[in-house]
Amino acid sequence: MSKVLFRNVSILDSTGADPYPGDVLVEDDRIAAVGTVDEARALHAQVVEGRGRTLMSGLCDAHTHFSWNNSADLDGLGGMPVEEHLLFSMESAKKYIDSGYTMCLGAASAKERLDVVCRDAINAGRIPGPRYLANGPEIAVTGGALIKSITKFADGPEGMRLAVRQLIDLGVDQIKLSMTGEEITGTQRAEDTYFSDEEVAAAVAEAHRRGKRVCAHARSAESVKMCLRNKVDIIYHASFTDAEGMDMLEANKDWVFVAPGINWLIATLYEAEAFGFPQEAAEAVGYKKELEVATDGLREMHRRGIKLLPGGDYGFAWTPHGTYARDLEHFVERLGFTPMEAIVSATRLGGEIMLRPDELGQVQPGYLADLLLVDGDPLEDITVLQDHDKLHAIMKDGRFHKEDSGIAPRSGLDAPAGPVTDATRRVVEARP
Amino acid sequence: MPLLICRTCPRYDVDSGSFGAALDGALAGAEVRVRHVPCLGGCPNAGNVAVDGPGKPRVRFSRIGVDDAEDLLDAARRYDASPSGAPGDWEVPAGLAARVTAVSPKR
Repeated sequence: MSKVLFRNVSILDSTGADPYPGDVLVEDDRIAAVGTVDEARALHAQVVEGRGRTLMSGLCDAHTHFSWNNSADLDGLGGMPVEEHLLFSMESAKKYIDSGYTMCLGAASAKERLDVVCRDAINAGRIPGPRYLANGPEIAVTGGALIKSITKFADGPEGMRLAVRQLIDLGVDQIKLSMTGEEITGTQRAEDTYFSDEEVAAAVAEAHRRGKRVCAHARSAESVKMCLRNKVDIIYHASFTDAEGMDMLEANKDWVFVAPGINWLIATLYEAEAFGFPQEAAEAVGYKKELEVATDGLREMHRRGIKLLPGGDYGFAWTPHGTYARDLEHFVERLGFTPMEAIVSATRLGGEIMLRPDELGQVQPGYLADLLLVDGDPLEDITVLQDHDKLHAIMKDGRFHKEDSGIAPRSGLDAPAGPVTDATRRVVEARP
Repeated sequence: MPLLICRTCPRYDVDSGSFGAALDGALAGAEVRVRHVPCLGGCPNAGNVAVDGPGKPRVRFSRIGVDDAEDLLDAARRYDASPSGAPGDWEVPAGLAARVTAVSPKR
């Protein structure tokens, strides 16, 4: 049995409780003890002296595109040869875990099997990467694609069923529907809905029948309602949710997830000039309006308790891979989340969207040991998570992806961790 | 005072990352909180730095060099002292004014 003892850390456990000082013991791939650790149990553990640094769950990106290749235009996503594209996707996977992301939900793959191959390679231990739920090419109807070269086309309910079956045959974990437009295309507008109710219903029915979930690029008001009517599991963007859609989201908040991908709107509007898309152009096609409407809507969703998760659409030139944690800053600064709420959204809700709520996303006994040791307090400054130099250790499945340079050699527990504080004792004793 | 320094500039060159390392050297000992971020999204204009504080817009400067260290510190101080952080409400140092390439409001 392998053991790692994180000693004298500030435990940010993602229950919503304030951080508290203590120790955390990892045995093999699981968190064995949190807060107080029996001396005998920790004997011969590899010791990480926390020195008060924050120990927290790894992060989740709910809208991941390993294969979005930092292109400066949409068509570039499909133009890379498959060999180079696979290499790039593998590098993206490493960038995610280098950034402290141990959970990622694939939102579409630019080629049929890039996601699936990366997922399998990660699971086999062949390449570094987060826990990954793979997707395939997004399904669009004729005339409704954002980028034709990375799209799987299907029309009508039977066409949808066939497309879903073919994607499942590739080995995907979930299905993506591209239901609305995107302003940057100039032709496919964000408020246009291209799917029919019958098409969404058929796709969802087929996917669910096979035990797979469905996610959707759904910016328009109608697409949000269409998703909810037909039980689409994960709604991306939801920019133009109207009053009826908001009520529907609230009525279904026990099962639906919304991942707005807010950084795409912000960066495309304000930061893409160097890549040929100045702010004036972004405003002209509607991004300023969309950002304003989306911000108001997402703040209302948060107020109503709808599950909002960070992530997406990283992998364009102005939303490059590696900058994922900027989403948490947006959640705090723009969407009105407290830093704790943003952290919980990126961790505990991450465990839920990864379908492992009792194993992922919290620092609790029995949970899988996906942990970050952070030099700083994300609750005091959420931007610390954007600085990879501050991520002193990254652990997945109880194994270090990045080791703290100050790790002590394997040793006995030479000295007790120190007196147990009242705060620690209260948290430990309150556990069921 | 917050200062974001890109750690991949110049992204398209073989010495990617050299910009941040050199600027770190120039800023050594300065009273500024530096965040080394993977990218600031201004890659064609390599040498990207931003000021970014709670409730204030992110203001990005591009084509920055180590010789701009003093101006960057000046900008960080002025940004920090400004209640809004919006350019116009604080005076961007003359040497940097023409190199503001993005202002991203928080609301």
